[in-house]
Amino acid sequence: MSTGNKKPSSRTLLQLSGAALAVISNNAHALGANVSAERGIQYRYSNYQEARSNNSDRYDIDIHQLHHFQSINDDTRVAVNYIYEKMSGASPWYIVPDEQGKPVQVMSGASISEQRDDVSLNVSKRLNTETGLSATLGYSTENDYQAKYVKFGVEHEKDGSPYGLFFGLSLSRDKISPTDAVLFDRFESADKDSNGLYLGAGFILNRNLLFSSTVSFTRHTGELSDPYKRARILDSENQPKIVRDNRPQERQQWVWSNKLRYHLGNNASLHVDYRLFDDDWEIRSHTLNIAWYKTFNKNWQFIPELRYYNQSDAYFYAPYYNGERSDGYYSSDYRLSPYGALSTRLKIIKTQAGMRFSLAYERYDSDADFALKKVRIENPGLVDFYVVTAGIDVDF
Amino acid sequence: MCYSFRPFIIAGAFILILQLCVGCETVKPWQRDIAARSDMAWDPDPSDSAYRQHIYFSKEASSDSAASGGGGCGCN
Repeated sequence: MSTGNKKPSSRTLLQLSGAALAVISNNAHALGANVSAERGIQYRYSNYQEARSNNSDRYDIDIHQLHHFQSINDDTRVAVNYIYEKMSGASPWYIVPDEQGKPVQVMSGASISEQRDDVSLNVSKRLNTETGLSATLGYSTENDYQAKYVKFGVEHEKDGSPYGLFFGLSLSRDKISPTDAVLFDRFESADKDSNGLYLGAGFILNRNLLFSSTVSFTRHTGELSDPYKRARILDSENQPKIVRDNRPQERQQWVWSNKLRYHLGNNASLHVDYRLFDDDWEIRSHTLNIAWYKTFNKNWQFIPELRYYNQSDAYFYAPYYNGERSDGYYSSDYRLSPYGALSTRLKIIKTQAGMRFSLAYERYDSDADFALKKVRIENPGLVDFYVVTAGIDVDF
Repeated sequence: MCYSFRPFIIAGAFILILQLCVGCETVKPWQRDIAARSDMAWDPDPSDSAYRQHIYFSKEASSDSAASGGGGCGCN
């Protein structure tokens, strides 16, 4: 590969142009990181563990991921992805106030035990030096949830232009069949549909600096309530009552994602990502991710990372209700509460004989005190967790 | 709910950023060697980041499902 100002051969030029197209694209399923490998296989094992809550063990999940990609010819690549998860543990059920009005979390009694399988197929094709297409088809199934999804993407960069455009859409059709529906007064079966589209642009600002910006819109319709959650209310006779989690049957969300990639020199790069989320449940969130990629001796790479997340609450959320809502919406789910979260991660990669070995540790802590705005009552179900991931990648 | 203006604000910010390309330095294809490095990729490890996004989507209120694609739940 030629560097500097000397114009290389036409074949090398084509390769660099193709690499540039992949660089402009924000489609994670396009050519990925290693555009030069003909085929490869990747395996990841992760263990996810949540901190105990109210003397109950929360979620413990083992995850196995297998990814295989294969170049069909110079312009087409196929990839297959398989994920297997085994989950167990208790989860937050509902919240009641104590004598002082302080919220107390009630956990689900029996330990949940589930397995999930997710398989997807992706095809990426470069039509010419300016345009690429990508399509993904996937299916996920677990005891109580099935999802079928499809995604299309197009990327285009005019030769010699400092920016490229990408567009895509996604569709998901989900079916929820809660376990023990009759026993615990849950709905027996319901559907949820999600349709989304995104539009973005990637820029080469200078030789060391890349920037991309994407706007996406997603509309969810159908059953959006959580059948495994409840809420405590006071009914018209001022009597406490535990009711089903009940949310609007539609949700529209906008996301604005921005990514900066800056080459620092000396085999180091800085990644800065910022995402703004906004929806019609009045939830707004900010996510800031900063990672430093540093390579030593060509074979070792260290990637420390910091993530800050902040969200506001849904307009119908409350830890518990001292009355009834006129719209009938209730949710005490901590995931709809106001809070902030700080996550730290370190990933180490060793490259040896055409293989890459990786090890990563991430710790996630959520707290109302981390929120940008003062939170009046912290949800006692906020989760802290850690994830350990080990992986091996082989290109051949 | 003051919701109806949000998409226009976001789209307007996006267009504003697009104007930055006016000041972009012209980088010839043979000068894009640094931009093509794996540590400069938008997503150096798609398998890793896809699963992490799934965890965050399961534990937080927000997601970017349009850009990241669908998938199952494993939510509770």
